[in-house]
Amino acid sequence: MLLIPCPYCGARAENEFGYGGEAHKVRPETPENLSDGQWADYVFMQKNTKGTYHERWVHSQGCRRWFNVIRDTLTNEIQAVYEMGETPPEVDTKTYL
Amino acid sequence: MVEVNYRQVPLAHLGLASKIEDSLGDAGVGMSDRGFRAILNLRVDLAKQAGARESFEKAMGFTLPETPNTANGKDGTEALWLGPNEWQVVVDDNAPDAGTRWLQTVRQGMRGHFCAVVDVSNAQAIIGMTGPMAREVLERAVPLDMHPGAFKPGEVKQTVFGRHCGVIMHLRDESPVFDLYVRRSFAEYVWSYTRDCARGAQTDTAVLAG
Amino acid sequence: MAQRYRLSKGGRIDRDRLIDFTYDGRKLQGYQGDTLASALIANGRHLVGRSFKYHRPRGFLAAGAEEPNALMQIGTGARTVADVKATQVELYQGLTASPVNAWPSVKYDLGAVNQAFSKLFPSGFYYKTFMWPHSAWHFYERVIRSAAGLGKAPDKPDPDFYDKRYAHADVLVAGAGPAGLAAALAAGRSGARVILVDEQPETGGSLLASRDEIDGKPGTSWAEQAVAELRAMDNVRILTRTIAFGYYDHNWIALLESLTDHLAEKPDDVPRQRFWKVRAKQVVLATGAIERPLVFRDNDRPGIMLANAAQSYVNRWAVKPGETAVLFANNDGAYQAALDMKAAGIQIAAAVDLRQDPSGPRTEAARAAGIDILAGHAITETQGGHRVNRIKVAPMSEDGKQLAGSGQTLECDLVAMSGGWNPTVHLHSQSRGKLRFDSDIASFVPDFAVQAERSAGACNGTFGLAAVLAEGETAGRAAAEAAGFSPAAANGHYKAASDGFTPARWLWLTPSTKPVGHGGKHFVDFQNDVTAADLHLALREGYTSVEHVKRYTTTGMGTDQGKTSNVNALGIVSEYRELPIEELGVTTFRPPYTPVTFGAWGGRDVEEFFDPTRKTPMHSWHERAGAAFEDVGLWKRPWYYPKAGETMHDAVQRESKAARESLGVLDATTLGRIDIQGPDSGEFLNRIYTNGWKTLKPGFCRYGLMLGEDGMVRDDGVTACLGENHYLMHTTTGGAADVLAHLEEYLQTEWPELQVYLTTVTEQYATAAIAGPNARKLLAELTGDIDVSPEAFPFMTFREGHVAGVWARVSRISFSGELSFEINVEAHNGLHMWQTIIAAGEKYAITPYGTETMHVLRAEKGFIIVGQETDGTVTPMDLGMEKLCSTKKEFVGRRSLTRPDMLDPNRKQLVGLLPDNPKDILEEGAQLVETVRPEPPMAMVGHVSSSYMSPTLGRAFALALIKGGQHKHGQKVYAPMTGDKTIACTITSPVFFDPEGERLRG
Repeated sequence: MLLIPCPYCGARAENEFGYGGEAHKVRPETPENLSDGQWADYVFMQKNTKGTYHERWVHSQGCRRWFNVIRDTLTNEIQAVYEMGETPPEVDTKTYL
Repeated sequence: MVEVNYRQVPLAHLGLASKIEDSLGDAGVGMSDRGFRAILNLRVDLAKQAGARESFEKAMGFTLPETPNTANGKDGTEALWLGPNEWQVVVDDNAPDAGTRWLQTVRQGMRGHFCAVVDVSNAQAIIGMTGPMAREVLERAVPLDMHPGAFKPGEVKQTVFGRHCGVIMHLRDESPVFDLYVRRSFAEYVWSYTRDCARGAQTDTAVLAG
Repeated sequence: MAQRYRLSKGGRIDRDRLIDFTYDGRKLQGYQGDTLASALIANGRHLVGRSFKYHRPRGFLAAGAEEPNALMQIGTGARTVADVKATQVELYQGLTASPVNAWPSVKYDLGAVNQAFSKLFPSGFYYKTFMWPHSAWHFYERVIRSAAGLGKAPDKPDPDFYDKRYAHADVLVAGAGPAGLAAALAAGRSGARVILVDEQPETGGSLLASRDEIDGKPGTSWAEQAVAELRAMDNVRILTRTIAFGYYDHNWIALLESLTDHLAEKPDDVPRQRFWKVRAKQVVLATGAIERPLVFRDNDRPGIMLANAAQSYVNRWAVKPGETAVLFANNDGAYQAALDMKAAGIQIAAAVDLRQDPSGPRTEAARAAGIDILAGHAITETQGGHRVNRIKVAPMSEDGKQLAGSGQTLECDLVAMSGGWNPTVHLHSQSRGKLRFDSDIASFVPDFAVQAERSAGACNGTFGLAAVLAEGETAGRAAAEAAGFSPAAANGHYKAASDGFTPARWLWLTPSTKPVGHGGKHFVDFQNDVTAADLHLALREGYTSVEHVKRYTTTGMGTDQGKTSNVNALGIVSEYRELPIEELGVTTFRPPYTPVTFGAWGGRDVEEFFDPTRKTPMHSWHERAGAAFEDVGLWKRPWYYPKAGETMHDAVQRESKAARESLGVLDATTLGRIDIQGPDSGEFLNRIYTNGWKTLKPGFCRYGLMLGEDGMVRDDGVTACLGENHYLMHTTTGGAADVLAHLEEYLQTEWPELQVYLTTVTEQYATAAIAGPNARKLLAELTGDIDVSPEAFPFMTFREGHVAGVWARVSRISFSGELSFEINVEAHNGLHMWQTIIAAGEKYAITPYGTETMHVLRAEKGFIIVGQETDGTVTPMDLGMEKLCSTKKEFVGRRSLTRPDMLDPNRKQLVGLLPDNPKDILEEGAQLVETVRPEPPMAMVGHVSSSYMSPTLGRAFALALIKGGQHKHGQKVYAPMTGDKTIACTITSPVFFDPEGERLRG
């Protein structure tokens, strides 16, 4: 079970949190102007990177706030957390084959 | 029309009143039904709502705690930090209309600020917990570090209790005395689960007065 | 003679406490402090099992967790446990045990006939033999399982209970041998919160089985002193009989503590086991090492065991594993076992040493003690049916690949073998820590840690007691420091022997008189019966990667997880492929390190606590009324209220009729409720729901449909406008938490500019829905301040006032199709309101109804239930609800509704179904076809989503989703059921009752 540092409540066990997938996917302002392919890409596709990944979590059994996590999806190392709307901090980007 | 008091606490059907002991005795954990209180949920962004801090203080006589995981209060009235823009205001007032009255008080006080004040007095059960084994027993139900050095008097933590049941835990003093706020439909689950945790910790539970 | 092989003195047993036990039907005795294994050896029992595939006689290989052969069925009845290692079972009064893998008895085992056909059991045997014909596998499997004898599961419910808990530590130390004790002392003295765990009933680890000294006193005394000091520390928790079996992400370690398994009388107030979920800031692994067998011809006869096991039986349990022993070793350290055995009166026939020029301190000591050393020799053959009684040895060529010269025969009943030591790196490896091959000890050692852990002592490849203690101390200090403590200066050096087990010589496969695979068996994995020849065969057949070799041959699998076999297998593969071991890699170590009971995994979250149950304020009334309950989400909802002698069908028919003809009442408390306020609330609702909200005035309600971005229906419900910029949203019972999360997600992540706050108020209210022609009359009687006339209180509005003497918000909405009011009061008043309604409704024969009747009533009206008519693949158009989708505004999911596959006219669409025979109730979930064939496959065109018998319609009816169904009204479909039955139906509109809605608006 991961230990996730909620930016508001501090480090808490993973079972207090919910997962929200890839971060910084902005909902298109005018979806009707998107092609079917572009829209499907927004709705269904995620990068799912092996390595450093920017993702969203919600502290559902805590402060109920959404926030961003930078996590190495291979090692589960949490490289940074930051609030919604914040610019992602610089981290050492881990990549794997 | 005169409002008649027909109220029942969430744990009413357990008939706890007849099981109350004078003291812990040999039991490692004492549990109690805290009964009725006025409980309000307050949402306000203090950073963006200029003067909201002061408005709250003026209305309630104390400031909202802004340090995460803490409580602040005065004379039986307290505010528990739930999040960066969310508090639970609890008043030790068991009158039937307490929720409505305190709702008006806080709403009036916060008028002019973008905020939400909602009466949730009926939505929660408040379970008290004390005793030398209370922390050990709770470590069976919640993933938090319950060690005295990690969960200190005056602190408030929300977490998951048992299997996916939310709980707000407020440690009132180091003896320890905990207030557990749980949603009322889960009250019996939390009560029985805690007793089972005590069994796992090889200790007994005693029902104490609220 | 009782305990004939018990030594007259020594051992960590209590000779005053004699214990009776039963093994394989025989009554035997041992002492308190024995394991089942040591007690059996005290009684001269070495034949303790039959091997997995060939049913060869097997004895004890080991004395601890690595034992692969002595798998026992322990106890009887409800508490029986299968596949327990005899070496891990503490002896208790009345214990009963029998080997799992022998039938009818271990001595006369019928499966032993497999040996005669062993050529038929090569690696990959199961894959090759039983895969054809495919359909016969279930038959083969049954026979294989009974022949393989995997033990018996209890046939009664588990009488024990299990505790499960979280725990937090600054430093967790796994293993309480010399390294672990030194680490715990160093960390504990710094004030850090330490948890020290050890699988054994007492701490001390390897010291318990050795005669080595620390600081001039016996190692066991030093260990006792160390534990006494640790016990005196408030910040240290010592857990014995506790195994750290799993190392997961972020220093999350799982422990299994046994509390009653070793007790003759099981107290009913003590959990059998306790499952610990520990979050440790730092971890010190001090898990020791496991001795490696030598791979030689017929190395599996009872009486052939690891040298360290023989030494442990002698020193720790004071039993003689044999009268005449041969040491077979490739290293110096093993000679201590020979010396200890000799000191205990066991005759040492010879030491057969693979080394050409044996040297080292223990070797010299053995030589000085008069032990005959055969240098550069190998055991080439072993003999003996149920026990080894003779071996043949011969000199080897210098390179150790073949024999050089004739040998001799030695009589013996014990072969103590040592092929070196494998550090127990399981936990380090589970934590994702990397391993490297250390050629000095020819085994894998921790390379670097990925998590906050460090290894100390033998598990780190460090041998030699002085070095082990020093490393433990250093690791404990470093861990405490990393956890934020300041350990005092080192306590001075521990004085102890400094030699490790080398010098040694590594020969993975011992030569014999015939090539491998052509005479006798060279076992590598004893538990899974894998031989060197099997490994060679797998390699010849092209399974070259170690992971493939493992799976094809099954080496290193099962409960054993390769504790004694992995490195030998790698060595043999490496030699055969002529590749260095370090280039082969190593197979993955997986948790659990040793088996864990299902009871412990379940903990207390079973039976009544399997899931939380949520109850409404009226629950006690429902119980008294004899309701049957249905789980909806976590809620317990009344399903129906059977009267004496009524079936469910009877009750539902009666309840439905009552609601249509007079008055029914439903507990609707469980609906989700979300308070929405703020200046942008209307805009927010507009974006979240498919329909428009800006025109909704205070006092009015509106039905809303919520989609996911994929355009699929996600939730629905009625939202009331409580005041300016203030709404109360109702969600489905099961969807409340998800909907709130969905709304918060949009508010917090997509539209933070919207000024809206959401608060869950699901539990603030209790709700009774009264429905039926007499609903208005009843409400009028219960309220003094709400005008209930149709003009003053129209459909889809709400009023606030008092009902039953308490504040209430009454909504005139209807899910039943009847004239209906939903009365919401504060939850504390819920039971009072309900009882008042029931009492006042008596004159209308008010009938409480449950969810089943609610379903019948709503289905008659064609009202959907999200999660029943929808399953995440259903759009509003599929439900015929396109009118609810505004074309004038953007909303979540809207764009998806114009994707080409959403416009396909052949999508599954909601329809009604009327079975031709009005008494045929379709099964929910039944597949529908247009053309019936004698047997499947048939082209399926849809499925039944809801199906009931309606007293109002006087017939069975159903809702279904059928391809292109909206244009198929009047056509036939068929539901082929099990047996020959087929139910023919006609497709209709999904609204069966009061299509104009006159009743609910009236």
